[in-house]
Amino acid sequence: MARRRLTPVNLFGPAVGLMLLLAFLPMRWTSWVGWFRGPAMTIIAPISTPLAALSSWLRPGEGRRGVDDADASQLRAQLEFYKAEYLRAEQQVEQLRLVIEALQEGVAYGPAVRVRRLEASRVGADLGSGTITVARGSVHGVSVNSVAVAIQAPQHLVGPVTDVGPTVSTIHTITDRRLSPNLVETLLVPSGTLSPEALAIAPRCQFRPVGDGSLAGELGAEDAARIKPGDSAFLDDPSWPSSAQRLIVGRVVRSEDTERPLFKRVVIRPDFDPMRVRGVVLRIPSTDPAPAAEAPASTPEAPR
Amino acid sequence: MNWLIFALLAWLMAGMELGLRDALQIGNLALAPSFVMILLVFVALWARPQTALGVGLSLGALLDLLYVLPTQTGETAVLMGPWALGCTLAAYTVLNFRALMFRKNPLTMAFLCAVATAIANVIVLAILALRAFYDPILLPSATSELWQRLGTAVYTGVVALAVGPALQTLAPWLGFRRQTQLGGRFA
Repeated sequence: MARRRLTPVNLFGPAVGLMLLLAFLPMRWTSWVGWFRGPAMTIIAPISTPLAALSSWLRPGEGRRGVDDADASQLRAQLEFYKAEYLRAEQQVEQLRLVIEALQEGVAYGPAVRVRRLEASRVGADLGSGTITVARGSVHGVSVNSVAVAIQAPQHLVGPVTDVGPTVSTIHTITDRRLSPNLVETLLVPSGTLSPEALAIAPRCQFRPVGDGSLAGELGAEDAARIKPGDSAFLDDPSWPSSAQRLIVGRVVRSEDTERPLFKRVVIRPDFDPMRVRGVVLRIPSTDPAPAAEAPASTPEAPR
Repeated sequence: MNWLIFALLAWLMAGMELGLRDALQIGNLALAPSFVMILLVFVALWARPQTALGVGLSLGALLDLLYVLPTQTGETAVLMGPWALGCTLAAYTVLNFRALMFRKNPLTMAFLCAVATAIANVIVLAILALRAFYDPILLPSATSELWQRLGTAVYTGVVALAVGPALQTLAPWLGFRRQTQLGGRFA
């Protein structure tokens, strides 16, 4: 019997058969396929990174922020930084109080989680899945518990890291409808001077991505009366990683009536289009007790 | 076909697919042209049938690796197969159409890009919709997704009007010199 030669033409049929099989096999049996994305993205990233930078330059994501002069922009960044730092410190005090209580009762508590910051440029965006890919991966220490903030405004949340390859990571943007869990609990903090009294009565609201770049949630009419356009929504959701807490999800755009008279629909919108950011700063949780882990890696967070 | 030049072009188009697509996005919709599909149609228009089908399968597999899918667990997953099958069928469609058309006409390229992208997207969406029954894939609305994907197909056709002639100039390097010069012989 004549032996059949192995040629690309002969391989085409089996290859189509394999693709047909992989296309319908349940995901739990085909998860190994994801491994091939890492090497593929490593090859594509060098060409797509400059093209993504060109794309960000052609259609910048920060257009929503309004036109400020340099001083106003710097002052706004400083205000956001110190406001977020204050909220984080306040949350940390509460956590330490719980640790003291746990110690007093003899209950063991976990190691303190520190946050390492790592700058990453955008490699590209997948419009169909609402994700962006950035040029840092597992070799740089990125893990799926990390979150990304905008490089132009380090207090603004871009989204959680959902997939990590060797040299690239995928971030699911906060404004995508398929974000899971897609209810984001926030603390609505008034704009301007922040006082402990104002913080004590700051309303909490759960927002859901709408699909048009904004997030919407319902708030009691009494609480809604206390908020105004421009107020910031800070993430305060235990289902999110600790490195994401008290980051800005968006700003109140409007509050509108609903069919239920006791509730108002509040709409918030991030200052940036998360799909078009030039780059991100990855906030990577680390339990490493070494002091170096706490230090900013590439980008100083505090605006000068 | 010169596979080295093709690999370089595929690399460039994959980079544009990932990095430049959002610059051409319409509004907040997932409406943006597919550069890899334009390359696929161009090759399918001029290459030998076996080569065209092989290119369809390999470019489809590349798109499967580029595009991730959000899941209910909050993570994203890579699915191999939907785009590979969709692009193979798209290449097969172009092979069937090309004998009936003036291949050098830019409108041919635009029309075939729209048709091929629509076919590939319909196949992908059908597979995803079917898989959503037993896999934790998040597919909010297949209907709205279909309209966006068909819009993407039309948009790809429009962009092919500009990209197609640029690819045409690279035809000799790809090894399509004889075909492009003696269009009637291989038509």
